[in-house]
Amino acid sequence: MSQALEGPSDEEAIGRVLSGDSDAFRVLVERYQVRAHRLALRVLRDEDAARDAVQEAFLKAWSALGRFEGRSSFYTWLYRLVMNQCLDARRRDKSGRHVALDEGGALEQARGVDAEPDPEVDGVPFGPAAAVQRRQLRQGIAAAIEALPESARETLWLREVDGKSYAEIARTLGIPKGTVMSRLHYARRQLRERLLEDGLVSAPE
Amino acid sequence: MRREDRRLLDLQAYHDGELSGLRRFFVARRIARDPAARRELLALRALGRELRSFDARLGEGDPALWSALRDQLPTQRRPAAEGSARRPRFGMRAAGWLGAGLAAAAAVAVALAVLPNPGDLSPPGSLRWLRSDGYPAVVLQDDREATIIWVLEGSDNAGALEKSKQRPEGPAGPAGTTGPVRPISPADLFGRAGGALA
Repeated sequence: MSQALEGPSDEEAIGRVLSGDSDAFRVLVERYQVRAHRLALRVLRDEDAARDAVQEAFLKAWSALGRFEGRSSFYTWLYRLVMNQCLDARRRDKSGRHVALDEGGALEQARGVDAEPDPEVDGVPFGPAAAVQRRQLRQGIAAAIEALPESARETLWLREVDGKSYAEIARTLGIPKGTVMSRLHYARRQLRERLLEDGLVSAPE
Repeated sequence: MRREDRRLLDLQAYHDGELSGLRRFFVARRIARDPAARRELLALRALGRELRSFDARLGEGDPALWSALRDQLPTQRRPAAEGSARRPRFGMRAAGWLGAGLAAAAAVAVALAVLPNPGDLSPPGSLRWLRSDGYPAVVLQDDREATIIWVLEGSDNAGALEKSKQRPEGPAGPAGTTGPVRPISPADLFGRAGGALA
């Protein structure tokens, strides 16, 4: 993830934008656009629609920045804007052009990038057989994620990918902390059971 | 909740870094002793790795996003703070904590009372600093209708007000005793007689 980790803090950047420095908004865009894009892609499953949704969400963030009160992090606030934008887009677009997440590498093909798996994972190279296995696992995960209820899926994503704490997830989704824990537990159990059923992971001994 | 569910939730919370102190210690000890718990933890970690790896394959976003946005920003409503109330609250939050720390360090509570003017005390707008038996107070003669009094109440002089008001026993305790700091009401200050503080 190529986030701009250096530079002014979110708070400083927001303060500068509100003082009239439009370019300071770039810091926020570059810092969060990858996460925002992946979130939109997970919901919309369409590259163009995801790109549009993220762009719209950032424009809304720009216009509404004066109302951002700093009660939550900027990303939590942006997350809601992106999510709302995606849900609006999904309501508007009933064309069914969405593809399943990673269905046969459809996303990679749609982006015009090589659908072959990476030559290494966690720094460990692996051969063609392992690559096939890995691809199957990825597709299995995609299908298992697909089968999860949206609420469980987003909770899991906020924890595992965005690295948010239970309290932050609770604030982001507007649910109690206990619900975060149970949704995570449910999502993980479902994923593992599905992967076990598909023979993609082995059962604990 | 079943014991097994509790155990799994604890492991999950451990994996997510949500446990602290003794609970973390006990779960860590169980993981060290119980191979099944260890396998469960490894499975959680592996699943997390797979999800992050899967997410990374969803792409790096739109490198041209800023260029596209920059062209559109001038046509959008310019963001602006609506006075100081619309500025982010980070500064206020920090100032609040600093203030709270200072207040705690000084062991002083400030009670504010807006009182009907009991009489012709001072000209409107005048400020008086009072000290009665070590009990400091600031009196602002707001106008002919009201007097605003800030009473600085410390634990070592709680009750002094009662003495100054010549009340035999007040809510803060008898004169000269210590007691919990609490806001002071107009009745506490002026008693039933409604007389002047000074």
